[in-house]
Amino acid sequence: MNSPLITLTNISKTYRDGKSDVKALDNVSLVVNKGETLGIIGESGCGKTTLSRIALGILEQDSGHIQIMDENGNNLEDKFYRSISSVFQDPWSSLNPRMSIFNSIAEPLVIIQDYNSLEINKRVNHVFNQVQLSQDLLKKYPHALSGGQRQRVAIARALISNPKLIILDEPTSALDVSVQAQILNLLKDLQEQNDLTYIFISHDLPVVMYLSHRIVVLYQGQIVEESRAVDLFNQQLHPYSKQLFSSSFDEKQSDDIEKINLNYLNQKNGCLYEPHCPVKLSHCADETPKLIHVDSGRKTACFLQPQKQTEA
Amino acid sequence: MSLLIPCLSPYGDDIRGAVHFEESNLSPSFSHYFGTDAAGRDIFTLTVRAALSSLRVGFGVVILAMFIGTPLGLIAGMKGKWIDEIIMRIVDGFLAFPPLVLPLVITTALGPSLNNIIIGIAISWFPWYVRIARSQAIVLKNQDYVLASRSFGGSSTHIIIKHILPNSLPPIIVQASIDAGYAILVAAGLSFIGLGAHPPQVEWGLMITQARAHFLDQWWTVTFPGLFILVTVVSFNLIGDGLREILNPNFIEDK
Amino acid sequence: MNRKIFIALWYGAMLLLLVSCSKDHRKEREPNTFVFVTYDDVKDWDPGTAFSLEVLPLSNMYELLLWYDATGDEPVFIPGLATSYKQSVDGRRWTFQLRKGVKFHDGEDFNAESVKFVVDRNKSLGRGASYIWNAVREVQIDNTYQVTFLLDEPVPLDRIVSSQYGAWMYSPRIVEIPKDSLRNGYDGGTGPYYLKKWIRNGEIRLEKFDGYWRGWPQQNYFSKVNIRVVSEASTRIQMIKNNQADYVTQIPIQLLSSLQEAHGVKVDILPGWVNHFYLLNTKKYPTNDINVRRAIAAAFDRKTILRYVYKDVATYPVGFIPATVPLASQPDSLIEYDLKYAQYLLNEADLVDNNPEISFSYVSTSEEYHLTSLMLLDNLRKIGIKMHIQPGLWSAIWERAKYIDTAPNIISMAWWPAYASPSDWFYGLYFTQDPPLFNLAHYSNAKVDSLIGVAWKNEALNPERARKIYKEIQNKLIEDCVAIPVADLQIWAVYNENIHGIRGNPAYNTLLFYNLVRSG
Repeated sequence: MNSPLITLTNISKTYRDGKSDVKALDNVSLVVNKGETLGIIGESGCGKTTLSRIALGILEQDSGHIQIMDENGNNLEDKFYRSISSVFQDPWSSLNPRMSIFNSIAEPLVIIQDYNSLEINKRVNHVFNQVQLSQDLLKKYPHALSGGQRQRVAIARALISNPKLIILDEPTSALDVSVQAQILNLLKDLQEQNDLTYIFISHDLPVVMYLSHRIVVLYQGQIVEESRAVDLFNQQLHPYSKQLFSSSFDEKQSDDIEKINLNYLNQKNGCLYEPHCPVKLSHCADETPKLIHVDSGRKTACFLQPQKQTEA
Repeated sequence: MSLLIPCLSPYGDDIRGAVHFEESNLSPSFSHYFGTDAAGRDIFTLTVRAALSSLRVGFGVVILAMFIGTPLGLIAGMKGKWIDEIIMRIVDGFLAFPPLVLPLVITTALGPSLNNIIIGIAISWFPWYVRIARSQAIVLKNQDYVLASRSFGGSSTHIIIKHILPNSLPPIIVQASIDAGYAILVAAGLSFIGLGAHPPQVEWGLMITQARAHFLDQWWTVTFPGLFILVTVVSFNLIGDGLREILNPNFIEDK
Repeated sequence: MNRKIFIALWYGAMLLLLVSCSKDHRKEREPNTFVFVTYDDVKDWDPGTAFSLEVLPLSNMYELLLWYDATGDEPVFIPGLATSYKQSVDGRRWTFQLRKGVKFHDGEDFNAESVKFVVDRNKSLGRGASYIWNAVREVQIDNTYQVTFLLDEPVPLDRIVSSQYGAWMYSPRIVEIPKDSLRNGYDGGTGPYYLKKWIRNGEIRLEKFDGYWRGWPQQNYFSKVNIRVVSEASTRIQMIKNNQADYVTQIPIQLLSSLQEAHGVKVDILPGWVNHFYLLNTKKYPTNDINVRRAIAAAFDRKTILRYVYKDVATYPVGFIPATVPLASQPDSLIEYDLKYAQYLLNEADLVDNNPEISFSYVSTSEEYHLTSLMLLDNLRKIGIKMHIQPGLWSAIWERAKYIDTAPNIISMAWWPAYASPSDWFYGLYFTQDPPLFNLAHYSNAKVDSLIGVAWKNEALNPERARKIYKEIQNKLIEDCVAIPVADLQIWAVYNENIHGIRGNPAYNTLLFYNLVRSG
């Protein structure tokens, strides 16, 4: 259960547009183990989506590297695209409006070019059953489907190439609450049936808590806390995590945290959260806290936690 | 309609160049609905037949311009960077000419004929299609379904053909249907100054040219081809307007 | 959507309004200015080489030693810059007494030196109509106001010095003029008008020369002349109808009848020596085949064209020379319209393809050529020849026609002579030329060349012999089918009815403004 499937090491990514360069990811390292769901939470602009796109291979990192291995420790580099797939946030835009549902689902197989049309047909029908949609929708176009149905189609598409890892980028945030639950349950079922690994990206804490085994908290492109889901729910070590949890379960504060914080290059020394931190220390503005092990399987980057332990 | 000439008119020979000088410059009557020209040809027959040439020009120009312009625009929009830079600089070069000069120069260089007019107008109009296609590609390439396709390992070619092209076609088709009308107008203009169709070909612009010395005395010689140009151009405009509504994605979703 | 229909209707209404308003909008003009509207501009301002439409301004800016008056039954010579002349018995010495007290516009005196200068310069330039001086060996200056021409051949020098090309007397100071100035409008004549301003392809402005030797009347003359270039026939028609022009040229003949009824417009048919014909390229495939050329000639429905296109303005051609030109003769017969015969001839032709294609160039400003092309297109289609029509401006089609590669198989031609002699047609059009100037049939026949020479030498002293040889040449040209004669044209003068003094002199393809007055 604890063999690593995908390892991201020291990933950095900076968006440059001349005037103001934005550091989207700053030296992010994380490991996703086989069969688990890793939740990544953070506000808009914290680098979640960048991270998912880098992991998907549609965005290139500036530095750092990604390794994906099967259970026997074999590198899956050459099957990268087959091993990882994704479900996007908006079911309205993640399906091509001019492609039939069948073609949308079959697209990954068509790209891979390993399958003949009979196999494709079989495979599409199989995953379509798995996401619990009726076959007559296959011939339709996305505009004829509801949001929940579309998201099921997107999930079917993600399943079709038999991936090891599916990156779920806020797969439920655009859906009605009732539909959200169905989709989450479906995802959970599928994980068990297909022995899947998920990276689940969201700013919606309850949803993340529901699905994830482990959780990573991102703040301005940096991991500020990494923990098992249960532990994090019980006790947040980093002040930012605390604020995130309190605001998430307390509607009044949510406005405060919704503002987009971008990490402008060279703009600040020390802890990035220092300006907002309610419990900051005198040296927080000058020194940068390192991400360190605190507990078994728990890491955080805050001076309030004992800094003497070994680095991560 | 043009194919029906033998049924509609007893002067089918006129479209192959037959002349009847003994019947020249007759005013409109029941035997010649639109009258006859200086060579005694039936203007009704010629005007109807000329629709074929004009439609050929209209469709020829936009199809050619689309075929040249759309792939270039999509590639420029998709690839960005220096490829975009090169393509767009070339396109800007074409657009730097005043609208009629380039077709004029190209048609003059290629020699006067209807086909060369089509080529001339298409070459000077394709940059507009590059621009539309490019702006479409820039918007579409960041759509989630394109990102999804890339995450499955879809190549640029695959993405352009399967995703970008089908979704960028509607505005291009709308533009094309409007342009088809203007192409007919420009072609008529070029034929008017002797760069286009030549007898025995019939074309509205050519008919007006040939009759222009007569039009004060024989009004019917230019009026009917002129009206046909007007009606055709307006029709293409209306078709374009209609297509714009039909091809609108919201329209699809509302169905 | 509705807006577009509205806009379309709006434009339509505006157009109708425009047309109705433009009618009868007669504008008051300066009575002393004569407005002449023509269809093409002057290309060459050098009086020694100009050889085309230039005759219009040139004949009003320059003068000749003698003028040839062919308006009456018998042609007569009218003294110009020469007051009198005599010729020796053998026709090889011609002595001219020159007019005294004549000044060029640039202030130089006109005298014997000027005459010698002009002839020598024109001969040495060797361009335009310089061939008219071919027989002149030397111009002797006897005294300030007398010159003697010594000739190699006894040619009719009185007709030559009255030529409308290559014989205008101009100031020797032309040599001081830079080439650019010559191109941008030049005037060094003695005539009644001088060149005030030239706007290329727009307008030529002439004004009266105060020092003109004939002097000016008290009143009722034109002190200014504007020659305007308007290429569109319908515009020219509008201009004469609306009193914006006093004289317009090249009106489509089919429209003359309606102009005759127009208020304030007069149409006169005057004698002319212009003829229209089509040259058949004898070197270019497939018209290099004699049977193809004959087939085209037999497919040419001359009668219909004359009747419906040229109407009353032209007469049926008797041959390659207009019938009224001195010494004109006619060939034994022309090839007449007969499609069956044309088909037969085409079958006889030795062609590599069964459906030959030929090209046909004509001057696009002429409605007559255009309608003729439609006739020929139709008839050739019936016998299986595909004809490509290539209308264009004269300067462009002329340039292409000079070279076999770019030349058309058939080219339209209108010809009027430099001086009154059939030799002008034959020498200009059918004499071997390499490269060709006007021999656009690319015709070369040693027999014809030598006959032209012989006839020309006999014109002055043995005119009947010359006439016979000209007939022989024409028969030869018919046999070789080098050209299709179409029409002997008269001049159709379309002018403002208050203009008087317009006389048709076929020897000069021009209008002399000095003779004109405006009434009322």
